[in-house]
Amino acid sequence: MRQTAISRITRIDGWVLFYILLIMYALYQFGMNNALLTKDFIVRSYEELLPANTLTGFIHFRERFEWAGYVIMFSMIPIKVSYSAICINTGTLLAGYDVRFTRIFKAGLFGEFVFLFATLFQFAWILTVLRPEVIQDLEGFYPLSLLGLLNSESVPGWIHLPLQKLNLFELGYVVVVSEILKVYTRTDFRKIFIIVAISYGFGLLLLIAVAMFLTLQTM
Amino acid sequence: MRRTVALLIVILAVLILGILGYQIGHRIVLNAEIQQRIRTLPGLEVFSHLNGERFDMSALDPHRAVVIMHFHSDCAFCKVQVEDVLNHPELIASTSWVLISSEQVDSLRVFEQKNQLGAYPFIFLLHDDQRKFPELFGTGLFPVTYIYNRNTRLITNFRGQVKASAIYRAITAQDDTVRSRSESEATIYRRIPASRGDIPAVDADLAEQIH
Repeated sequence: MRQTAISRITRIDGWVLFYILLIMYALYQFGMNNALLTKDFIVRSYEELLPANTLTGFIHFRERFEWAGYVIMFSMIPIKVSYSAICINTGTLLAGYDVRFTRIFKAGLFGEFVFLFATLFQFAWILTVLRPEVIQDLEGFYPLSLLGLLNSESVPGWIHLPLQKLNLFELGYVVVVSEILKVYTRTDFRKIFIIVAISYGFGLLLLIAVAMFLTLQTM
Repeated sequence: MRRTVALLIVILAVLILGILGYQIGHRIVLNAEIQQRIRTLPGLEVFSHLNGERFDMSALDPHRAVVIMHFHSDCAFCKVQVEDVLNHPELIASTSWVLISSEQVDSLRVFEQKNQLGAYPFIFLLHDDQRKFPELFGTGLFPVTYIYNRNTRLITNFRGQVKASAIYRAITAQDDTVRSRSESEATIYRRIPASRGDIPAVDADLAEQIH
């Protein structure tokens, strides 16, 4: 019974998925800018650290380039999904499965909903439970990740990103993509899960290594 | 054919990962060394006064906190920060300032004249002729500020521009926290972001005092 339900889900058009993601992330960005990162919030966060001129300049800069945030966000979705799809496609090719790239891409789009849910959930949590007064209150908020289990101050800065990325949402992503690809490859879950986990995991590892390298260069 | 491409991608990825891994490992070790070294006030003899003489650490007043600021006189943020500091008499009175820049001595002299730094006995304008600052502190950014207490222990550092009052608060809060930790001080402490976990804030100091 579960099988046919998932098969029906896979028939949703990829573009529909993409647009839903786009709209939801746009709403999230809007909410972030207007409900959380308001001018007062930013001022409160930095007024004790930065002189008035710099702070005003910073706020003006943020206001002028608010649109850039949306553009970046819109372009990040296809880039991110493409990267994942290439990684996973490499994995399926080497494992001998014949799945079309477009189908893997679509599976990636489905997986992105896990991250969308994570983002919205964290946003709601921040607004209702954390209720930060200043931006520094948000430090150390890494729910459901390895970093969240540790005291983030006791851990050196360069290890933050890898520990942050090792979270339940990434696992959820792999599970969702595997479920979708299971329909397309007609194999059992375990086999496809291992392929997706290894290939996507490796791709993620590469990204983390690049990010760590860049962070360490500027430290 | 496509399988070959996939294989090539994997080999390339492994190679890149290997190179990055090595670089990262190397950099982590280097950074750890630097953090260890700057936990206490390092020797600043590699820097020289504008007249060419090497800096003598005994010029620092042992009863004052020491603030080291890496700057460049063309950088607007640096200029604003220095002006802000000069307008903060309590900060000037309680600290020795070491301003370090790797630019030409001539432009440093102009900077000194403009801000009348010669009038302050505990403000030292030093020239980094050998570009040793990045090696010593791990960063070539400007403005970057390192704050050491009277016991030559690192309190915190600020990357980028920071208000003189924030620096002053870091120093005075530290003095009080060593004796007792009250809620208000903890709040002040929270508002001053220590760097990303790599340079421990006073807590480590306090912990050592207790043990």
